[in-house]
Amino acid sequence: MIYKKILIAIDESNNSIRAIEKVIDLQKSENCKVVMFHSIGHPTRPLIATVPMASGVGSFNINETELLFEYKEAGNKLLLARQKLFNNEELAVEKRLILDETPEEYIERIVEEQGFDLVVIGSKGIHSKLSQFLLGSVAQRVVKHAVCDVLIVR
Amino acid sequence: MIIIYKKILLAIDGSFHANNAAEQVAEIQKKWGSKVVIFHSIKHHKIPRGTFTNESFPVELYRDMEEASKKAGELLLIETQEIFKQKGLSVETRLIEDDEPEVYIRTSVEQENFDLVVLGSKGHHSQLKEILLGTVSTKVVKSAPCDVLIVK
Repeated sequence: MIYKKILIAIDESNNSIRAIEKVIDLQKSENCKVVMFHSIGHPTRPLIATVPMASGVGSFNINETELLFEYKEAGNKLLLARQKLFNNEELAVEKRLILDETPEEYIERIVEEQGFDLVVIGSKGIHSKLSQFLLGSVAQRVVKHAVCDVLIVR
Repeated sequence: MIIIYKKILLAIDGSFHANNAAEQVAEIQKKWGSKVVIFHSIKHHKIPRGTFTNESFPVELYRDMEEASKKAGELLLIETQEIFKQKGLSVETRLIEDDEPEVYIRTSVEQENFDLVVLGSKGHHSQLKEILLGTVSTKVVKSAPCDVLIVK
């Protein structure tokens, strides 16, 4: 494929790992620049923070700052783990944690700002089941607002 | 060399984006030697039989329209095939009469093991339906059992 600058959106799903494997194959044959990001800007995050939740042993105390901290920790851990997949093949990847934009918002903005020519995304992530139900999958929304080519990996 | 996609199904409809998709697939084929099948569905041009009575809509006219959309479809396939021929590539073309694109994609991917479906991001295919039900591309993203490349 004739892509020079690839943006890959990741989450914890298996589809997302397969998407990374495809990008690694592309990078091996094409020598393109790859940026990998994970967004913790779920549209449902503020909602979760305001709904009382039983966290573990029956405590209902969950505030948004704590929740954000947890998400950040998990997000960075995920990015580090996935970066290893690239490093194992001696490939370079830039990683980014996105705090306040949903994946589709970030993709729409950054593709234009930084001139990516391909976005790669898993077909079904585990990103916010609720918003998937309400708005369709992230992949569908990315395709709808696509500002460059999009590869959806199953 | 790594061959990522071996068998590619390209959906076309005469739109600008579909044309770009064909160009992109030609590049992929040139690089990886993938097998490529191009199809165009004319299902949406068809008027369901029984919509009109014989007096208000003569059978001959219906047949003429069907013939015309078939011919236009075949021409489109030949034009797209030409993009590949000019690069010394060979492709198979198919005119699909009885399946919507997303339905044809789903069944043929399952039956013939395509590993990539390529289509343009916004097609000509039934504008009204797009407003009501979403684009063909979003439907394919939802239902295709393999990887999908949407070309801008």
